[in-house]
Amino acid sequence: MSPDARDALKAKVTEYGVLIQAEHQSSQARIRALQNRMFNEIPVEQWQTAATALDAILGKNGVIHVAETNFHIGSAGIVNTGEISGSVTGHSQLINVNENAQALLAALIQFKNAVQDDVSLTDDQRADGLSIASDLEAEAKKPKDAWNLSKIRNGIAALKTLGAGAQTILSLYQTVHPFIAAYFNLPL
Amino acid sequence: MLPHNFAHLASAEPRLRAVFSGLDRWVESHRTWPWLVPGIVARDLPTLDAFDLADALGLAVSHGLLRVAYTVLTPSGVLADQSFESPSAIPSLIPDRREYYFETGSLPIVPIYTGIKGGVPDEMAERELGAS
Repeated sequence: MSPDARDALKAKVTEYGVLIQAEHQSSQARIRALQNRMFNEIPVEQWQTAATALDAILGKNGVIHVAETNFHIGSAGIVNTGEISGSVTGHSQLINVNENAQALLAALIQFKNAVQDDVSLTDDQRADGLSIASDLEAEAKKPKDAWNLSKIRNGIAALKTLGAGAQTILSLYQTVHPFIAAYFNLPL
Repeated sequence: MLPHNFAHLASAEPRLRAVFSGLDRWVESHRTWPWLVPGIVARDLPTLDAFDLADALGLAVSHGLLRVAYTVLTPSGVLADQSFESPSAIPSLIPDRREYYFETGSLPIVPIYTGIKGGVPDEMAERELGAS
């Protein structure tokens, strides 16, 4: 990297470091958004230097704190034992990611993949199944107070109806329904 | 494991001599660590300039001492188990250790440096370990 390019990169990374630190309550999402913006503004070959320098700036100033986890080496490589000896501190805010949400999103992805790949379904059944799953996925990604429970109930009913005419969807519905019910606190 | 012979790289870039010495000391005191995170090193060695640290780690990568990969910081403050060759290669959903998928798009990207053989908890490393 030429001295001029290095200076320009240094200015860019410093700018984003200051931007993130200036927000005092930078959420993880905000940090990521600014990282993405920085990557968009510099050549790919400078990403390593920029990511490293920015991480160093944020780590040094306590904006990002990586928990120190324990690892041990197994026969297949590294296995993370998940022993956490640190915590998120500094100005980072914890984002409450409900494990039920992760389970539901994973189940919906599996549902959509299975529907997409099932050649026994008609085009309409496939499109309807994917559309309903996408609607439920969109609701699951919203904050709890923004859930449209009527839409969610209708989606569940529509999946059940669709399943009546397609054994694959009925089977998938029976798998995914408990996740939907658990997450949205609806009766099974 | 992380290498602990950075000092010899100072002959290639004398202005980074203090950084390489610092890295050697840091690795020596973190012998069991399979990876190095710039933010943690910078926190532990606050007198190091962030860009000098980035240059030193970049030089270690180009000399084959380290490999860089990218992962995300999960909401609980733990690095995700999987890491990837580029920030743009991080999938939008990755599984945690209980196979629950979580979205990565709003999580900070963290570069991690590992020794060339072993020590990185990702498929990329396992492929290399399997091939070696």
